[in-house]
Amino acid sequence: MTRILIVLLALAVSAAQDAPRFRAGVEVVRVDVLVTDGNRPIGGLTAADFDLRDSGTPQRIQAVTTGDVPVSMLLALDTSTSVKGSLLSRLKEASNAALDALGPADRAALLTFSSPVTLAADWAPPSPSMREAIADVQAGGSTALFDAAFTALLHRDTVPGNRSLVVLFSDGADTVSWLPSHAVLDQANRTDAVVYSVVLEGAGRETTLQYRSGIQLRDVPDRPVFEAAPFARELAEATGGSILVAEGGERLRETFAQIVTEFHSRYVLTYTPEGASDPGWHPIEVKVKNRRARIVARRGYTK
Amino acid sequence: MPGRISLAAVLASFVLAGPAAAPYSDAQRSYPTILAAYRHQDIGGLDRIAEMSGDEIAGAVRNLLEAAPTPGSESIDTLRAAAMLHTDVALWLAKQQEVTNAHHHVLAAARLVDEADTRTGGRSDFGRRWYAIASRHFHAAGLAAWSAELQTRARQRSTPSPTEAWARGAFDQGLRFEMRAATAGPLTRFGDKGRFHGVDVIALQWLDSAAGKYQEALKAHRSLTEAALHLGRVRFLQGRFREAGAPLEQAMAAAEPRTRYLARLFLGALAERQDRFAEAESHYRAALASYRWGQSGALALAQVLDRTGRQADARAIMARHLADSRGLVVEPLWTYLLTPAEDDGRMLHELRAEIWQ
Repeated sequence: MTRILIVLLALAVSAAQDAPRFRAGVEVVRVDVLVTDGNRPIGGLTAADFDLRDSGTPQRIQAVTTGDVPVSMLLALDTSTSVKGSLLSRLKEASNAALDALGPADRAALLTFSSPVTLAADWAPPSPSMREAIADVQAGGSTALFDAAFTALLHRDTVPGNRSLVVLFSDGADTVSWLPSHAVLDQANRTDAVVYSVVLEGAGRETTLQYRSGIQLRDVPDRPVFEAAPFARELAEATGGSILVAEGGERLRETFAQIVTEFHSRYVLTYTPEGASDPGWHPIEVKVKNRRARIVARRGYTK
Repeated sequence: MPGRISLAAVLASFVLAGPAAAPYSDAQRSYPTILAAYRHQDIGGLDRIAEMSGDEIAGAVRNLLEAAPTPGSESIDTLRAAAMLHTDVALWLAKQQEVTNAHHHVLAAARLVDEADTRTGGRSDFGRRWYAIASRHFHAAGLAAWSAELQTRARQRSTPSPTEAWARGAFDQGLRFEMRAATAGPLTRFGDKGRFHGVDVIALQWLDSAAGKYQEALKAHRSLTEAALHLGRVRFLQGRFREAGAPLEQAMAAAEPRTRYLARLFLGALAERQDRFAEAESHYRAALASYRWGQSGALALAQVLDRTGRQADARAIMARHLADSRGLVVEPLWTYLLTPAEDDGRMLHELRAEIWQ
C-alpha cells in the first residue's frame, strides 16, 4: 500500500505559531499551499482560516507553518543541444539567482539532463562548489525530460522536515526517455514535492517510439503513449506548483528568483486524516474562509 | 608536445566526462598500468601511448599477449581493453593527420581483437562490431583506405555462410522497417486489452513488415539473437504479448552484454505491462547486472520499486546509479535502431563500456 506524506514525528514541526507535538508513528499529511489575492501572496493566515477536505471529508488542521520551514530546492535543468549558447548562459545566471534567493537554512541540489541524467551537485547548503558546478554545465544531446523529472522527484533531500521544491526547466519536449509521462505523474502523487515548471514558448516535438518503455499504468488506461497535453504543466498542477513561460529565456533570472521567493511565502498545512483512511487516490480541496483568494495546492495524494 | 591539443581533452569528445582518477607518477606509468587505468575510465595516460613508436607498440602488445593467461575471460577482456585503448589513440592521431603513427595503433588494435576471438574459439560479436564500428570512424576521419583495410580484414577473418549472410541481410531490412515505424508517427493509444486505438496505421504496417523480416532471419539462422531481440520488442509494441516473450527469452541468453541488457529491459516492460511486478523487478535487476551503466535499467527498476511502495529502495537505486555513472551513461537503447555505419560515437562508447571495470 502506497503511502505518501508520512512524517514520523520524532521531530517538532517548527512554525511561527506554537507547534503541537504528535505521537510517534502517527500518519500525517502535509499540503503545501499558495494563497494569493491577484498576484500578491496573502500572509498571516492561521489554521482557523482554512477549510481543508480530504476525499470530501473536512479535516482538522493541526499546524500551519510558513516560510521558516527550511526548503530543499532541486534544480533540474534541460541541457540538450538546443540550450547551447546564450540560453545556457542565462540558465546559469538564473540558477545562481535561485541560490541567492534561498534562506540560511535552505539546501539545494543540481540535476542536469540531456540524454543522460546527471547529478551535477548533491544536496548541500548553497556553496561555492555548487556555483562551480553550475558554471561547469555544458549543453549537448537529446532531452530525457520524463526520466529527469522522475529522478528529480525521487532524489529528495534526506533532511527530515524540509519542504521539497523542484524547479524543472526545459526548452522543449521529451525525445528520449524510457519512462512515459504518466509514470512520472503517477509518482508525483506519492510525493509531497512541489514542482515549478519553467518552459520556453514554442511547440514541442513529437517523440518517437523506439525509446519508450511501453509500460502502462492501470490508473490511466486510455492514456496516450505520446502526450498531447504539455507534461510540464500537468506535473506542476498535480503537485500544487506553477508553470511559468520564460519568453525566449530573457527573464529566466527573474523567474527563478521569483519561484524561490514565492515558495517561501506558501503555507504548509498539516493534518491527520480522519474519515479518509481508504487506500488509493485522495483528492484534496483547500479553501480560505470568508474571503476571496486563489489557492494553489496539489490535487491529492495516493495512499 | 608543443602546440598539440591535449589528448585527454580531445578524447573527451569520444568519451563522456568521467570521474577524476588518482594521478600516476611518471615512474608508475607503464603500458599495463595505463591499460588498467583506462579500464577504470582514466584516459590520462593515453598521451604516452600516442608517443610510442611502431616497435614500442609491437613490443607492448607482444608482452601483453604473453602475459595474459589462456584461457580465461579476464584475459579476453584485457585484450579487448587494449584494443579499445589503441583504437582511441589511433582515432585521435588520425584527426591530427599523424597517419603513420595512427596506423601502428590500428594494426595493434586489430591484432588484439583477433587474438581475443581466437582465445574464445571463434568469431565474437565484440569482434564483429569492433571491425564495423572502427571502420566507420576511420572513414569519417577521412581515412577511407584504412576503413577499406579493416573491412577486407574483417572478411578474411570470418566468412559467413550463405545462410548467415542471408539472415543478416533480412535482419538489416527488418531494422530499416522498424526505424520507419519509429519515425512514421506516434502510436497514440494503448487500450485496456493492449491493443492500439486510433493508431498511426503506417507505423503499425512498418512494425508488421519488420517482424516478418526478423522471423525470416531467425528461420535461416536460429541463433541470431539480435533478430530475436527485435522480434520480441516489435511484438510487444504491437500488443501481441504472448508472442513477445519467447524471442526475448532467447535474446536473454545472448553472448553480448548489450543484447542481454535490452532483452531483460524489454522483458521487464512486458511483465510490468501485465502487472507482474515481481517478475519485472527481477528482469530489471538482471538487466543492470548485465550492464551496470545503463540509465534505462536503473530508471525502470526504480520506477517499479516506487510504484509498488518501496520508495526508499527506489531512491537508493537511482542514487547509486547517479553516483556510479557521474555522466558516464552508456545506454544501448539509444543505439538500438542504429547500424555501425551510422554510429556517431555511441556504439563505440558501448564497446568501451564492455571492457570497463
